[in-house]
Amino acid sequence: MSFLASGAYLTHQQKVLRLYKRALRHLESWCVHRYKYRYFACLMRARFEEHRNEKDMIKCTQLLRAAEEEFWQCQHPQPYIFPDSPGGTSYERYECYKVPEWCLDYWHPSEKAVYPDYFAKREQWKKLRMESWAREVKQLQEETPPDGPKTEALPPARKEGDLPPLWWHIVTRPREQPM
Amino acid sequence: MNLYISSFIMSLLLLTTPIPLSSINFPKNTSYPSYVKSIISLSFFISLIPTTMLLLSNQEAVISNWNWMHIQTLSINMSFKLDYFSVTFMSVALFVTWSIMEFSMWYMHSDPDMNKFIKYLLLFLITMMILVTANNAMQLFIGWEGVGIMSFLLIGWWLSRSDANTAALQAILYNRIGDIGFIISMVWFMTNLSSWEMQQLFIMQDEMNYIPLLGLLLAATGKSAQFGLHPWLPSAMEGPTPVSALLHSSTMVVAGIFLMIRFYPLIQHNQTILTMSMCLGATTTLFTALCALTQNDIKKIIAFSTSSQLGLMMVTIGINQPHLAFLHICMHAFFKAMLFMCAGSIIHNLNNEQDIRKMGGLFKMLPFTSSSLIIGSLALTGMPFLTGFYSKDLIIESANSSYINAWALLITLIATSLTAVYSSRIVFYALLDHPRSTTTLNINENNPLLINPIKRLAMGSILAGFIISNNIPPTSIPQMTMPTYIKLSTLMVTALGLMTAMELIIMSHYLKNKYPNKLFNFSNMLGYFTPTAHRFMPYKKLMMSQNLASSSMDAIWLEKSAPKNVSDIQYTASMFTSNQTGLIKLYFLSFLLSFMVALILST
Amino acid sequence: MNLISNSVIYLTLISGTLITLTSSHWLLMWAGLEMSMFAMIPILTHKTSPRSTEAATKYFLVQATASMMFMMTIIYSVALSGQWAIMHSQNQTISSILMLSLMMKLGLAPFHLWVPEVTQGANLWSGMILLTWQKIAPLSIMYQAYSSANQTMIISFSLLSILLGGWGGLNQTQLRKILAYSSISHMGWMTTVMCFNPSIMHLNLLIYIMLTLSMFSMLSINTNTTTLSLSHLWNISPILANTILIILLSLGGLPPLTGFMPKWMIITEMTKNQSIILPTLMAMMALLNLFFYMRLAYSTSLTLFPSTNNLKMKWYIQNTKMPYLLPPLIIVSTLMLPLSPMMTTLE
Repeated sequence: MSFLASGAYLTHQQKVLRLYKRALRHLESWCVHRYKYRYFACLMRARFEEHRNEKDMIKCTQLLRAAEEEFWQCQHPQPYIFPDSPGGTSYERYECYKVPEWCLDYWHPSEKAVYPDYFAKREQWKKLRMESWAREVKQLQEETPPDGPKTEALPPARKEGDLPPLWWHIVTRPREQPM
Repeated sequence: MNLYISSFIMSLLLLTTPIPLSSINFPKNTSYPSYVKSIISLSFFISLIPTTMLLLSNQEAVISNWNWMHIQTLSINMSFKLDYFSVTFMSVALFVTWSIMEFSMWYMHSDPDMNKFIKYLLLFLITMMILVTANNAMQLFIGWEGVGIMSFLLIGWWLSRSDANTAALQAILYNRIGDIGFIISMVWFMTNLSSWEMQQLFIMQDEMNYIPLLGLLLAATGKSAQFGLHPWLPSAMEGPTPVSALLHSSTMVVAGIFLMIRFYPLIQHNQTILTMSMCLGATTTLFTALCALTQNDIKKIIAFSTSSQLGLMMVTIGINQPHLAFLHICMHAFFKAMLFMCAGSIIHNLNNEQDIRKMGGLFKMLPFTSSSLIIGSLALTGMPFLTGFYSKDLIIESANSSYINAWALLITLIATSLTAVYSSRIVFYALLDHPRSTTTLNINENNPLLINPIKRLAMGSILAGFIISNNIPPTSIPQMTMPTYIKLSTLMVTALGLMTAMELIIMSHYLKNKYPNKLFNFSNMLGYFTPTAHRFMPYKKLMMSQNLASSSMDAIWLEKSAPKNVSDIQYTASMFTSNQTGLIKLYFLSFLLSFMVALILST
Repeated sequence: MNLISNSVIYLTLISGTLITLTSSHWLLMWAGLEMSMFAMIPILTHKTSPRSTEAATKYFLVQATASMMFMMTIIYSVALSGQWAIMHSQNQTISSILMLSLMMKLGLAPFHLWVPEVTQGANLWSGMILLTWQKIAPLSIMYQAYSSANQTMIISFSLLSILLGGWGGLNQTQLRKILAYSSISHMGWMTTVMCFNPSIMHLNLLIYIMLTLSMFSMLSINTNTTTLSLSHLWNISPILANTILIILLSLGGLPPLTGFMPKWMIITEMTKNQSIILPTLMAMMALLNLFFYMRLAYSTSLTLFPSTNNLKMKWYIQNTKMPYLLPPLIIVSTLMLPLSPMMTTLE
């Protein structure tokens, strides 16, 4: 759950949206059955919509404050947490097996010699990456609007023969679970 | 006679063979886990020989074969006690562990260190065997500590997970408090009775006073997670599910109760200790049942149900029925191991999802697991003629017909009815209704490594109670006659709990909780025990220590009496004496005054 | 001031003290004291300024009062005994007043207030004479008259002056005042041991004069009068800075140096006389003195205060003064401890 450490730097809209999301999540923790949750979620949405066109900032802030207090009162003591999220039941479980890919560079030659095919291919990949790097950066720079990126998602390759930007980091990321 | 002892020793020795084998180069075509599994099953079958002999002829024995050392008059032997408790428990534990080993081969198949995991489980079992078969306190202590250290290693199995490390540390630290109690008793035995052998201790029972008995009670409280030292048990759910299964069924947590059973000849005539253990057990069973009511993590609900059952066992010891408590340990091992395995199956199939709010509808998807889970839950609640019934019913009956402590008995009855509530809650939320899980799951339960152990334990959960309670030699006089309403009270409260739970759950479809709800929060946050014991009290204690020890010591010795005070005095005196005005009038005045004073004083 | 007047003044100063030392007649003794006192006044006002005039006036007033009382005791004792020779008076009051007047001249504890004032008002040279040479005459009279005095009074006043000397020095940054307070403490040590063994008092006076002379001559090379100016000594003459450290430690009475000898002997002598608490107290009070000596030594030679770059160029200025007497003085005031067996036989 995002707590309000950064509250001072958020816009009012962001604060309301985050509150809405948190409220929904806690409502989901309270109302287990989906249909029941849908019903109460609609009611909640209606309460938010009611003040949607409020223009008076003083009143807005008061409403937000009242809503935050109500949320604090009604929060679930054990909200649902996804297993992989911080606080979840399998968070960090396989962290010790997630060895970054660059560690392979520090293998001893005798160790590398055990997997000759793989390391030969890997050298080619590395070469490919070195060649493609400048083009990837160029593509990213061209596609990024001047006021910053709109989304976190990386674009695909646009031209024939190009590789998608930052593909190396994606394809060599460690597995979530060990094989 | 020879077969009795030799087969017993054989089954114990067999268990140890995989340990040295793991360090040598194991044959590539054999998998170590399956080797361990077959060794344990072999050991189980061999252990059936002494068990059968015990059941048929009530044969008991003591093997004392190696004098370890002498400390003046205290001699420490390696000796095994082959009595009703150890022999029966050994077979049960081996049977359960056999299944757990097989289950963990399925559950942990993706773990890179599976061999080590299997070895740890085996060591866990071996230490428990040492504990159970020990004939003297020293050997028992070795098993006791071994169980503790293996539980630490296994709970912290996912070592990169900080929560798992915290839980492991919590378990070992809480157990350390209990160990202090055991050590106190051992030291008292050594200094006052000069012996650690069971038989000699039991002969000297008239000389017991409260210290060793309280120490034993503390030890059992720590190991069996009785109220006050219980928080480590739900935290221990951080370990992999097979570990929870083993920890809760046949090792570790029952060790504390087993200790009380082992030493019951010392306790049985001491009414104070009995009452204490009964009240402790009653508090535990009610408190943990209350906590179980609102938990959402499936493993935590089962863990709290174990804790509640342990409280029930403690109550049984409190009403002076150790054999019944032991019977309940054995019965409990079957269905609790199976419940954890079913939970493991669900968790694994739902991609590590443990929250029952996100389950639902599994009855269609995992029919076998669901059936077993229902069997286990019914056995746990004491459904007639399932395993749990044979011990639980007897316990409640003897409790009801004894005249010891009405408060504790009432509490226990309430907790018994709550058992039905939380068991049915698991069934309703996890198995029935519509699925609430994510849709991209690959659910199947066709692996024999999963099916077979659950199947065996399900058979055990149905039949073991009948078989064991039909065959064991009569130990204490059972309650022969009683009024019908007392006979039926167990069933009544259980049925009451079940029906209430059903009503509530059906209501929960349509009505919204009133929140904030103080009672709900109390139960859901485990009675605020952890924040109180782990945060508030250490904080107050440390603050007090800082104020008393550091701050006031510094204030007294450094600031007020010694160095700083001296320097302050010098500073003030220096300012006072050398503050010159330069007025000769004042100089002469001071001359005159000192002149007068000196003259008056000296002449 | 011209040569003639200068020589007359210094001749009077020296002969006054010598007359006091050598006379066996009360009146002559008094006359010697008066001579040196009068000769001191032009020395104090050597460079005339309001401050030095004030110092000279104060000095005159205090010394005149003391002399007056001294004269009164003489007249009283002559009236009682009918003769002028120095002999032990049987009258307790007379000897007490005598002692008190001499203490006033020496600047011992309750009468010590004038010493730092006057020393600070005069220049280094005058201060040096004030704190060394001017102590000789009163102490010699005390030496001759101590046996009839009230010992408790002397010892308690001495202890008080050790304590007040220490406390006073703690609060000072002016070197002349510090040395004045140090002189008060040392006078306390001397008068304490006077009741037990007066020749050790002599020895202590001797060594104290050596140490103070070397201290003053080192300060006067660069005319340092404050701790701050002393802390800049390292780039003017580094050797001097180090030597000041050693002299200060000697003044504080640390073992391998000369200053340890009188303290050692005094404590030995007092313990020999079954007095344990007194030397313990004195040694502890001497720690106060040691503290401000150490503070001075620390700021002089053990640390470098932050300074601007051009300050480090000061060593270009060559010093023209040639302190010929300084090397032997330094040697005497630091390395004389091995001679202590010989010194003890001098008693």
